[in-house]
Amino acid sequence: MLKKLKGSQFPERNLVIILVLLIAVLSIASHRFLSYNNIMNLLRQTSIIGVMAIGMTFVILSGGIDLSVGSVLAFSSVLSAMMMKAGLPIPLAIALALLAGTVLGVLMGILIHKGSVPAFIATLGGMTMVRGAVMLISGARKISGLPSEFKHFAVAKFLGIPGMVWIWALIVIVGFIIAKYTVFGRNVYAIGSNEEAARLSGIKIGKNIYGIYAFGAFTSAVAGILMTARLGNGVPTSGTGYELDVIAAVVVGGASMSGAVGTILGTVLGTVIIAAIRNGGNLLGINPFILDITVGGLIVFAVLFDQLNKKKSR
Amino acid sequence: MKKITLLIVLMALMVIPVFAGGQQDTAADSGKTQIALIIKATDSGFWQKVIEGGKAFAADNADVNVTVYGPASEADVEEAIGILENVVESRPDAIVIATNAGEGAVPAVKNALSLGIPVITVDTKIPADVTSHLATDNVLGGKLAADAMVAFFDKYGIAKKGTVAIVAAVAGVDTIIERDGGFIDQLRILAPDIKILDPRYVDNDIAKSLMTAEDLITTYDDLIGIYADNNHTGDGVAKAIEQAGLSDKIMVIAFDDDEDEIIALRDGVIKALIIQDQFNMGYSGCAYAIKALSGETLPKFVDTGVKVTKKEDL
Repeated sequence: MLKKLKGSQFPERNLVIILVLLIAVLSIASHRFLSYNNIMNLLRQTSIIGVMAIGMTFVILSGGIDLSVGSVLAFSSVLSAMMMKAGLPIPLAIALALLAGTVLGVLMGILIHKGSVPAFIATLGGMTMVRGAVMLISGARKISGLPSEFKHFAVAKFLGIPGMVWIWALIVIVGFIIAKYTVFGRNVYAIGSNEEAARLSGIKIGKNIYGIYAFGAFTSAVAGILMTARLGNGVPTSGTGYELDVIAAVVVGGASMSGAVGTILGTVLGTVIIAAIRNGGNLLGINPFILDITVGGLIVFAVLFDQLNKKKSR
Repeated sequence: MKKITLLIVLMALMVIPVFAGGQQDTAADSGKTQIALIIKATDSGFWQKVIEGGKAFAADNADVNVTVYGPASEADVEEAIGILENVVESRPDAIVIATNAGEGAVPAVKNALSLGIPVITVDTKIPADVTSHLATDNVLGGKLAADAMVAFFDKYGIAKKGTVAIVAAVAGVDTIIERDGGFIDQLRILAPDIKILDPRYVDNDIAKSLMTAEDLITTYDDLIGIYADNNHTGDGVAKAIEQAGLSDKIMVIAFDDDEDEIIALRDGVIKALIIQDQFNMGYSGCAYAIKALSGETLPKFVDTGVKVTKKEDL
């Protein structure tokens, strides 16, 4: 009884236990795991997926899915790089790339809500079209020769923590506040739980759906800027396959693909758990293919565990 | 009615590019010798130079038309096979091809040869009896990389007994296997006390090379050298070394010479580049195709040359 109560009040409890155990095992197995340099590596390597996972959490909470995130990342990466190369001031180039990415999200939202195209199909088409557009505008070539002030951002540290990790933290905080303390956040849960009931209770479904996909695309565009700074290039093929890594992070974080269940904190934990397994595996020299099997197993296990718990509580 | 109009407009928009593409084909049909130049990836500076070589040959020979094909990324092997099959169906006069598809490319290549279309492979061999093969002697390139690395150990007073890592572009491709094999064999002879790690494969993704290099740096305190066996791995490794400020401690030798690699060489982050003559692969590849069409017997292998470039050679 007590256990169940705790579980429902603090849904991320199991994830915290898994993460603590994982950290304990990895730090015993490799004395380097908890070193400052490695933790910074881990956070830096995770921040791009981490930023996108926050946007994806809202999409999945609403009962939707967004497969276009990797393409939107590349779109923002290439667009910002081309604008900077053309001599636009860095902040303006970034702002325009973020705006353009967000607009793509709104368009997909419109297609899903107004056009009643299933999110899977709308964003699958979006993924392919946006990737095609990226290849077209870049001639499928890397955009090199960016201003060094911009490239410096990826390496720059503030209070000993890399800049891109701060951006991730900022997006997490924003996501947390939106999910927990705003009307929009509550609407997302309501729509994910039962769209028809949400509509009948007076929630404007359309506006919220646009907002959800706009925010998702915005986080992907932010990730695109981070990727550009990290690689020092606009790379048209970047972000390929990221949609699956991002969805995996959200699912391991306890979100349900059928909507309404999941939290921002859970997503952050899910992201870090997957990253820690990969990073720890690299430190210990574990065969990368075995790591793939482990991460894949974890995704299935996360959902299986959820289902078993539901059955028990029934 | 409005919806139908919209639908028609959308369909028209989709059809226009098809016609635009078709027009190119008809223009190309005007009695010129058609050479199809198929490269591994359009996102890479290396392949762009091969294209330049092919285009230069077409510019020098008014009766030759060179059409370029290729997937966006080297990892898109399945797409590369599809492109090859389509090219063979379009019946060019000759095919010049570089592909990672290996065995997968054989049926289409054999089909082309049986139709009397000469097939010249450049850069990477495929297991079929093609008209001719033009490439870098990759084993030699790997050996030169090991020579250069050892020379820099001596120059920087680094004892030859730590760990050396290989960041490798893709698994299971002859070119890469030969480059790594040549490097490993020569380094074992020159510095038998050095521990050489198994190659880490990164799907030719710059972000993954960067991540892998970061993890290698954290894991091995005695890491004294990293060998990056193409341009994208070179870009990623250079970023990691630059970021960690270890260019005096870890000697980086990389294959190829894209823009970022040249910058890294100038900054002393990469110590030496093993440069191939990719322009020549494109140019001579097309020249050999024309020779084959005029009935000349060609050598089965042509070495396009490889040279070591250091900072002072720039």
